[in-house]
Amino acid sequence: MLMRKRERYFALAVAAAGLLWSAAGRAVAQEDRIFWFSDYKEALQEAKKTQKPIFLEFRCEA
Amino acid sequence: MSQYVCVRLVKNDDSDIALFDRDWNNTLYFFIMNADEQIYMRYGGRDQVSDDTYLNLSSLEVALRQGLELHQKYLQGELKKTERPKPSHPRDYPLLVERTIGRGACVECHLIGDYINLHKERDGTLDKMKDLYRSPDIKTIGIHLDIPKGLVVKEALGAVQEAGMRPGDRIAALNGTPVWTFGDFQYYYDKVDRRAQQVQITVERDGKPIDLTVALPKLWWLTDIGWRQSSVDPRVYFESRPLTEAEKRELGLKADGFAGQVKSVDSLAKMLGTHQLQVGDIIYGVDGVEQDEIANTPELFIKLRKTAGQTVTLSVIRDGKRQQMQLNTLRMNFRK
Repeated sequence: MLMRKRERYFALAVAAAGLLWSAAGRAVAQEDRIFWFSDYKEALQEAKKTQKPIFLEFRCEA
Repeated sequence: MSQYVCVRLVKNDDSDIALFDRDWNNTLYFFIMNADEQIYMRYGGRDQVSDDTYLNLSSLEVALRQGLELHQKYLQGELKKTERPKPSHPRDYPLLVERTIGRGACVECHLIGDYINLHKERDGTLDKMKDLYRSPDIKTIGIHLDIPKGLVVKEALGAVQEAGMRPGDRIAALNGTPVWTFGDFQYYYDKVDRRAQQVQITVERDGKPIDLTVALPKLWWLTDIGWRQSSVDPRVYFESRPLTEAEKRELGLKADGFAGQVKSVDSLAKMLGTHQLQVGDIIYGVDGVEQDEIANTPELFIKLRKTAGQTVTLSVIRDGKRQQMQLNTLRMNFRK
């Protein structure tokens, strides 16, 4: 299904916001690239290793 | 977000749809969770008006910060573990496999919901009030959120106002289950028995929890489902308004019947040959039935009590004369 235009905007904005948000607040962190796993099991392993929580996005694309 | 392991899944083929259960008509949905597959919260949800009414970067930031706090509590053993639901996958539904994986096509989110319902229809376990009328609108009970702030109330009207909810309250729990986002609230609100007469909403006010008992109005779960394109929804291609008691009395109709006056006819009705109704017609019966404990209009009666694709006989009053008329409900077939 085609993601609607506004949802695509929101998804892109989420990715962009991730580059601008850090623990210290809204400081720009250009070296702080967000890597998006596409494999759930690999993401689980990474979360176990790093003790980080998981942010999981589901979306349906055309 | 750098404090999270971020994962984006665009394929549902091997997804555990029990663990990641949600209203499947959301095309964009997020889970904040941990490596033990404990879900802290859901972020997403929508209403019948728009797919992004409740999507907002500020509220997402609120959720992400809250997720980090919950995670720290979990690591310190301060959070109670919830039982993982029994796994379920798209491949467990033969009709879904036939329609998608079997043809090399994507298992799209809305198809999961649709085919689960089709299986329930086959098994005789479909509960249309719950399975068709998903995600009741919180505005029906008067909750208007300050959306950028997550679950902070902007305006409290109707039932929640009567229960004592006030602007500025932060909704913290529904029927005892903690909620952190609109997505959470909508998800658990969707689980409420459609015959329930009240719910308990806990709000935080001035740092203190307050339990509110909210009386649910009749048909609190009813929303416009036309945008869902559901196979188990008998399409009728007309809308009616319920007659008043005085109008029913004048026409000699049952006072507690579901008689309605047609207020609009979809142009598809003529094109598809589904019925010959006109605006102004009064429908007072369907297949000889004139009243129902739930339905307050003939089309709601058809949607709840008839199977998509079924032909029904309407009892109609047109220009003062009573007549019988056929209506062929349609079943949605292929949809991308």
